[in-house]
Amino acid sequence: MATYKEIDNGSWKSFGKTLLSAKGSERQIELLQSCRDGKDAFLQYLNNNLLNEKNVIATGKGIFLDHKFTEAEFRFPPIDTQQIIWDAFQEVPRQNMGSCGFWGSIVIDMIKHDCISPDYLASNVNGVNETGVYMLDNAINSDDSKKIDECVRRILRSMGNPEPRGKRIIFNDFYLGKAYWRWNWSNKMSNEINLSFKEILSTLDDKGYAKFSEKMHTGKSYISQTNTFGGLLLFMNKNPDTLVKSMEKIIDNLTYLSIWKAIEIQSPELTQAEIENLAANLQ
Amino acid sequence: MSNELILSFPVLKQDSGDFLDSISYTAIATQYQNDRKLVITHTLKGESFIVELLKNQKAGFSVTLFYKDNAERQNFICNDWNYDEDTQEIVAEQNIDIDFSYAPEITPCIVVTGDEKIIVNERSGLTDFWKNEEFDIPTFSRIAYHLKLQFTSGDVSSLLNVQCDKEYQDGSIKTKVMETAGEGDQPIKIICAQDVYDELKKQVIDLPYDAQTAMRKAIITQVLCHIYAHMSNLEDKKDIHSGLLKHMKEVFDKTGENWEDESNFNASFAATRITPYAISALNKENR
Repeated sequence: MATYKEIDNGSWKSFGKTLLSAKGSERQIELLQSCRDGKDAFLQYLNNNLLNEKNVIATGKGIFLDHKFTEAEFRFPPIDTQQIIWDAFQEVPRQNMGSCGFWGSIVIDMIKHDCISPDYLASNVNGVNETGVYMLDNAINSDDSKKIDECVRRILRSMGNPEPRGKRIIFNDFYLGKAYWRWNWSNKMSNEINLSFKEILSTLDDKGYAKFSEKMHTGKSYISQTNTFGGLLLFMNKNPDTLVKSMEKIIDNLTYLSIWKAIEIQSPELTQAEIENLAANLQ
Repeated sequence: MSNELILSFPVLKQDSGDFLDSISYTAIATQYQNDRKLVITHTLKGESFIVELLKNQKAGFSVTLFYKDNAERQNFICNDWNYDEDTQEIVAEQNIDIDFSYAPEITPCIVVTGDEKIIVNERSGLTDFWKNEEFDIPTFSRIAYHLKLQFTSGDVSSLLNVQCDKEYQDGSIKTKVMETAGEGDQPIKIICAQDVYDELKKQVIDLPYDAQTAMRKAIITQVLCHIYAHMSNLEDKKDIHSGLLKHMKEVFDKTGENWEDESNFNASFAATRITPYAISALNKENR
């Protein structure tokens, strides 16, 4: 297996942990200020506090995501940008694609090559006008340690750092990772069930993907079995309104069922029928 | 798996009470890291209705692999096995390619492949509780379990990866704990200078008898102290590498130091009390 360039995951996590050890600390302000001051200052900060340490970068093949993002595009990659992300990482093994250190290295290289500006990392995904610059200024000039800490957490999440939410951040929170994994699941499952890549992508829209990926990376990871996930997708495709109403309960029931029944070996179609029954009983 | 689930058919698992003591199902896993292969061996012992279902191709051995970091699950069924009349043993072997550099969690079981009705007789392998009973087993029911298989024993030596950095000054050691390392990975990395590395390769004994042996013990104590302090400060001590979890239990059992009581946890004390320090299995390619 080829090795790919990535930040040592232990060092990457320690970097986040140190930053989050005290809310509103000088250390946090220093990060925010460097992010606000632009590329050179931010890279200098990373060099001083992370990259200059010995053995922090595991050398290997580098992947360069050669695309100049707008801020909005970085936060919510539209479909054509998702295609660019998917294409760029086609050759990379899934193990690397789930590695926080790999994505951290990708984001730093994107900043180095002006594909994104460091302030994008601070954008607030929940606000329409809350640009990274706005969020950074707001935090830097604030006495509210919670606000400062939240901004630091947002930056770490946008770089794929695991400290704020663990390794699952790559699948759930981190914009580029989410886009990649949604396409990866759609591609994989289109070879397993009778739905096209586009149909699955559409079923796994932002809301659908969020729901499934949340479950897959918690105790309900049972649903990531190919046959089980296939059954869920077939059901969702036929009953798109069910997502909000009862998908969570359906997944809970499936997980419970799996204790005694090996639903992972029954076909997606049989699982779909099983889910239809579960859903009917929930109403 | 929940222990509280009550089913209308018997299930072969540890302490279930459904089957005679002579009936058992075990599975072992061997990982060969060099060629990225996993060999799972299932063994079903004793005469039982499960043997009959397997012989009639109405049941199969199943194994689920879970690559935790990627939430990827894979399932493999095996219907090919050998039966030894003399020992009344069915043995099945599965050879599986590993897709990731870390080892998966492995959950083996035996599954029925269709709806079955069983009329209990003296060859069913069941306890008196089931005498003269009839029961139905629905398609895809798991009728025998083995506990989830994991690779590390929890012994501290199985958790350590020691590397030498020739540029380090004599006596230097750097210890990193990666508590969320993948299954099969060694979650503790020690990078040290050549002189320390040379000492760590030698046997460390419980009762030092000269300056050299005392120094070796001190190096390990220092490393363990760092590791325990790190582990003690973790906010989430549950969702971590299974080997570390086992080791934490071992530390508690041997030293009485309670991980749940962070403010009173004494990392130095625990480090001086934990044994053995044998690091003979360092970085073996085939573990």
